[in-house]
Amino acid sequence: MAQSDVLLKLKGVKTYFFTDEGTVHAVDGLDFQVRRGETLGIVGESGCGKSVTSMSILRLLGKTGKVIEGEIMFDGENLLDLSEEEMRKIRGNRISMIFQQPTTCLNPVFRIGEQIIEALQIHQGLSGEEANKRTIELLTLVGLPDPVRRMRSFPHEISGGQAQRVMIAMALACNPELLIADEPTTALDVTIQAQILDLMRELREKVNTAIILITHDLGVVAEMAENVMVMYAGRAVEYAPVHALFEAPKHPYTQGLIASTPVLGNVRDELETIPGQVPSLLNPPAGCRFASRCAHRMDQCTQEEPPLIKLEGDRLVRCWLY
Amino acid sequence: MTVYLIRRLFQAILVLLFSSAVIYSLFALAPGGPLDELRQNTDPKSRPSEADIQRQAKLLGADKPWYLWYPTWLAGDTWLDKVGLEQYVGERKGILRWDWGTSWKFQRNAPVLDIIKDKLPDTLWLMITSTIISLVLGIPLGVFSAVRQYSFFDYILTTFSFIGLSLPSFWFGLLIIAVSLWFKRNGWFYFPAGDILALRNYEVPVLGTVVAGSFLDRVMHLVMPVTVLSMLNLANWSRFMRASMLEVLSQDYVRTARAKGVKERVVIYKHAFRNALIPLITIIVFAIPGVFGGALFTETVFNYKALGFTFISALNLKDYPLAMAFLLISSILLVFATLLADVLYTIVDPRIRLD
Repeated sequence: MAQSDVLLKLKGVKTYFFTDEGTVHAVDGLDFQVRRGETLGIVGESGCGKSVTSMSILRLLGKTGKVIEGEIMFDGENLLDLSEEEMRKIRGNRISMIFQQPTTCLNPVFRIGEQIIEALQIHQGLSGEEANKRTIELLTLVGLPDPVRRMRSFPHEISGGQAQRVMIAMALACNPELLIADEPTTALDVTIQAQILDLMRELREKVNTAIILITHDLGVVAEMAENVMVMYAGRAVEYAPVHALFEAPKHPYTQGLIASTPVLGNVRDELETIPGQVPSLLNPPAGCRFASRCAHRMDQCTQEEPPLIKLEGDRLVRCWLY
Repeated sequence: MTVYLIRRLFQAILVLLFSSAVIYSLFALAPGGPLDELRQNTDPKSRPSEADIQRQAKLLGADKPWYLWYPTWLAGDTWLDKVGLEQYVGERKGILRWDWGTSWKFQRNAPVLDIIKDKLPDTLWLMITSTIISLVLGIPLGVFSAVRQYSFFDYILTTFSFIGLSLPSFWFGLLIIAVSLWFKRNGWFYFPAGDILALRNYEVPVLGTVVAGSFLDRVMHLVMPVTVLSMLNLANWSRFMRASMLEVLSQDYVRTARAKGVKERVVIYKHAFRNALIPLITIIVFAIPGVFGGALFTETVFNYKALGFTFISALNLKDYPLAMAFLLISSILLVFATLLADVLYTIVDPRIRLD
């Protein structure tokens, strides 16, 4: 794999939040990379650090959060070393993002068209008329019916699915090299979910954007991603190509996640669950963070945290079983 | 929209009728009346006879039984013979026929509207100046302290706001009057401690002679009451703006704007500010009746005899026509301010439509 092929590479990234109750170790030493045009799924329960990872990449953590260690290399540059102004020129231009709640992500007092045009004007310096034309193109691209009229709509006048299409159009406005999709379909109806995923797949072919797809929905990952990283309590516990992961999950947590997914047509009285809860990130336990919920727990697990162990076929797993 | 406005207009009329009836009933229920003072005169020689008092009452229109007061105020007393009350027929036309009545005691027999027209400019000077100052300072201060939440500046502003909110205006007023007089005694620059305008020219260090009744004289007299009034509003409105802005800054669409690469300044002043101003409409619009009403305490402390002072006097003197006119105008302004707020909301917030 040539060096230039790697678009984004995180090395030992630790993102902490400094709150009144103490320091939250939201992301605690994370390494992964995304190649150009690749789709990487990041999976995990709520609160495992998926979204914080994406906000760390864009450096939009707010006042309390900070990346205290590590490197985020994007196309050979460490994003953490950039000035705020340089970072701003990357946001929405080379790296853009779509979010979970499309309807609340659009500013209610501005027309949809204005909100897309703004991105085009910031990064590409298009004139009003050019930006207008491009916005119509983008809205057509994402399959919004009657784009000329829709441009003049306010966000409350369109449905959630349409709003997500608008968000995608806005994110793709400047042909980003990396698109971070944070739970893009979670808030949508199932049929709309499928449409949005189809759209994202179609657009990936057309614009060759690398995608980081953050979700807790394994079905979405199976459909979209080439590689999957499973996160647990701020750390990566497993990394594998998507088919390998579903065929033979290695980490007990991944196994639990897959077992707890309902299978269509397979009637069971009760779904499998993983007992217990995610440990508090204020005071992460020593040893393996999954140990307290793990069926294969050994003495070693509570004493020392396993490293990411390399298995055959480009797989990594953080577990003493291997 | 037109249908909505017509409906609201009818509602407004009903509200005004109802509220004026309630206000008048409260006056009628309160013990005492405008003529009690005459009866309480302890000196037997100058005590008016009951016949004098009755004549006075007839003059005021206060000779009627209590249940006729409100109808008289509303519709006049020229028509009372038609309902068999010939003895109470008079010349009043009532508020419905634009007869606002005459003052009973404040300026006896002066038409109420003339008194209000006379006092209104001084009130507007005071209230509009302090409202504008409060808004022009309060909104940016609130925005700054929201953007720099928990910074040194934010803490200073919070402390200042709590002081401003908790200082009673009469106490703060007296305090700065005392300070001003102390400055004057030391021969330093000072602001006049009371009144609307001076009667005689006066000397102030730095400025020299201030001509009584000049614009400068007015400004000099406005400084202290405006300071007191602005202090309270400023504290209130900057807190409100801060809260509103903080709420908006945590919204998803602000994050979207940042993720889009919008400059932080533009994120705050375009994306967030536009939204944060929406709830402020209520506050600004409801300041309108206040502008007419004047400032009761502040006007009294600074002997600034404008509408607030007049209203307090009318209440103390049981000058019902004057007090009623005052309250009615306030009610009208309040009802229309509400309507104005609703209409303004549809302009600034595309999510709101009236129909």
